[in-house]
Amino acid sequence: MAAKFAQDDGDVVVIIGSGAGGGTLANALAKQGIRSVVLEAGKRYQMKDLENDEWAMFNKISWLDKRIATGGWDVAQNHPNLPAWIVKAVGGSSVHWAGVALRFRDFEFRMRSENGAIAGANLLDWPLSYEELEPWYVKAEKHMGVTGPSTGMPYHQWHNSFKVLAEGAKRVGYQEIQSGPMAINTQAYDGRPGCLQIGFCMQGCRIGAKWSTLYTDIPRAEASGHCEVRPQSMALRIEHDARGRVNAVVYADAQGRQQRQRARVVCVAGNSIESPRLLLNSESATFSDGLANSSGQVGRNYMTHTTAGIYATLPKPVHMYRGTTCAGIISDESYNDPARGFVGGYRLEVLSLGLPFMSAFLDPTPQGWGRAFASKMERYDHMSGVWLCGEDLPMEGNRITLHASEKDQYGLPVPVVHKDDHAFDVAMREHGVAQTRKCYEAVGASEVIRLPSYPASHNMGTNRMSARAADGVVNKWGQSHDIPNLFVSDGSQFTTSGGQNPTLTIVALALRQAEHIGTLLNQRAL
Amino acid sequence: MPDSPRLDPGLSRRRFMSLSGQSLLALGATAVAAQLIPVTLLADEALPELPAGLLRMGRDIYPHDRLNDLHYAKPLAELLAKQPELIADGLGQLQASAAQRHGQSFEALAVESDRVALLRAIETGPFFRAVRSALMFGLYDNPALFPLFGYEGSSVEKGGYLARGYNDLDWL
Repeated sequence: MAAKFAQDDGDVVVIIGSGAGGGTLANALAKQGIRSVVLEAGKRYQMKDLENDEWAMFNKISWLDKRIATGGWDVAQNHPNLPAWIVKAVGGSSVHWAGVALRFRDFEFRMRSENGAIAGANLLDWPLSYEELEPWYVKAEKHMGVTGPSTGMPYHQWHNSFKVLAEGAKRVGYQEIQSGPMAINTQAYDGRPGCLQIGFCMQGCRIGAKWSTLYTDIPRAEASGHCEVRPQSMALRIEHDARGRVNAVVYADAQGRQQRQRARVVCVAGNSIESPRLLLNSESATFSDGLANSSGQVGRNYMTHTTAGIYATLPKPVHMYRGTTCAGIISDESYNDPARGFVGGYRLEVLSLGLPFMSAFLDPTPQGWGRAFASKMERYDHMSGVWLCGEDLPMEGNRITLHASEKDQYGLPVPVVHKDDHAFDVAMREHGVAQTRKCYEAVGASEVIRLPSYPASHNMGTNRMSARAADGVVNKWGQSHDIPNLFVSDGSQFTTSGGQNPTLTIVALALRQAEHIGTLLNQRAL
Repeated sequence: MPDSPRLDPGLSRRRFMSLSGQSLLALGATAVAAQLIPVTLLADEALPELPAGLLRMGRDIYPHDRLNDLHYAKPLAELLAKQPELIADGLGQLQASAAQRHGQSFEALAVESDRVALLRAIETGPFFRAVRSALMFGLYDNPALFPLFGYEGSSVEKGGYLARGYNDLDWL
């Protein structure tokens, strides 16, 4: 039975956001009997509302409030008001994610130590190691149902598009070729069915074979009686007491009325644009640069992964849309080998687009029309494609700021999302595109088409973890260096991006953080 | 403004259809194409009225010779209804450019590259972008046309592809 807590109940944990971070945290707290109120900006949809329709789902669940993209990245040119492709709904971007559940590699927690200072990058080691996180990765994998050793679930059968990519990869000498790990069931697990190879993973899994907090952690937290989820509740600012401890969250409800929920602890999990934006919007006389911002790092070091889309036209039909969107990964390049002209690694991940999205992303530049474009579209069923997911170096100037004058429907300053490439990002992208080209040409591709970056679904780093308070926003538990009862529980706490899809790490950190919050509450330390 | 939407109400259906450069008979010749002939067309229902220049422009933006004019005309007519001034002004300017450079209306220019050059010059403007966007959705997000591109659309109601060919590729 879902609980209902009073606005003036100052004993609850208030969690802002219900995605991979916030939703997982709410459930993990509930299991310890810790009460929480989850404020979710978006609406609540049910599994039956998830359609096999790319644009219908885009319009239904995407975060479409105005944002402004600036800087040298492709996205500023091609999608000036849609820098990020993330979700505004209960379940957050765990509704949209493709299910790729990769761990960070050991070296990715200490990029600064491995590579030294890199000019132009604000590189820093994580304040925790792979060894520390490893048991939490195992717990996260069991929790989510990730194919592979932790659950014993077999990896997915290779679908057509991955067969093509994998064969090409083999022919160019790659060896680490695997259709996972995926948080998409290959058999019934945890009350959810095995995958039916429907496709449309990123439109929300209609049968729940893919893990999402929408139909796992959120309803389970509610069923515990320790959690209340309030959809259409947009956090406006976090308030604090005279001692500088946070004590309430002011939010706009579905009718646009301001509400104020008192809190013992506040956990921010609104993804890497909204989380720093909320902290910046919560400035006060005590914290004139925004909450948790004594380092000046709130909003900085915005990372998206170094990415590109690469689509090949093969000699015979592929029908890439049949089956999972993303179950196919080539990992030979995911190591730190500076001899390639960049640091960190990348993975090549098979990624299918339906015809509607292909038309939108094949060439979104002003030049993307005419006979050359149309003839590519006519070969749609012969295509196979890859998404490059690589380390994106943190740069201080890549950051979320508040627009000086423009306001959104809540009266909040519109976020400005600025990003430039580091020279190493450019070098990695070129390398990845060239390697993908080789793979596809090895299986007879007649044409290999490079797509500009999509709006970012992986957003990280804007409230980063650091050992020293001067270098970042939160400590190794995601706890603010400045305000002990304020936590960050999403990908914005990432110190570096790694070359790995972020969700598994977000979930592992949230499970770990929940236990830590429980310990601190028991010690009366919060 | 030789060809503004409001000044060209009498575009005949015959002329309208002739722009596609194909006959219905030819379209019906293959099974795949047969699925694509809209019922409304076969039933001889009224087609949307549209300036010929706008239809020609649409076909030049996404030239799929296999597609009937009707598939271009529908989204363009909707756009015209939604943003009449933007389209009328933009098309008027396009026609003025065509007249200035070639002494002909845009749709009368026989050489595709002549038309494309005129369109390239306006591709960053709001008129062109609106037309392109309307057609992107009208052509590629149109389930009636999915089969022509080898796309199968929604699959969950058919049980996905687990038993329907997700891994049937055998030519490698």
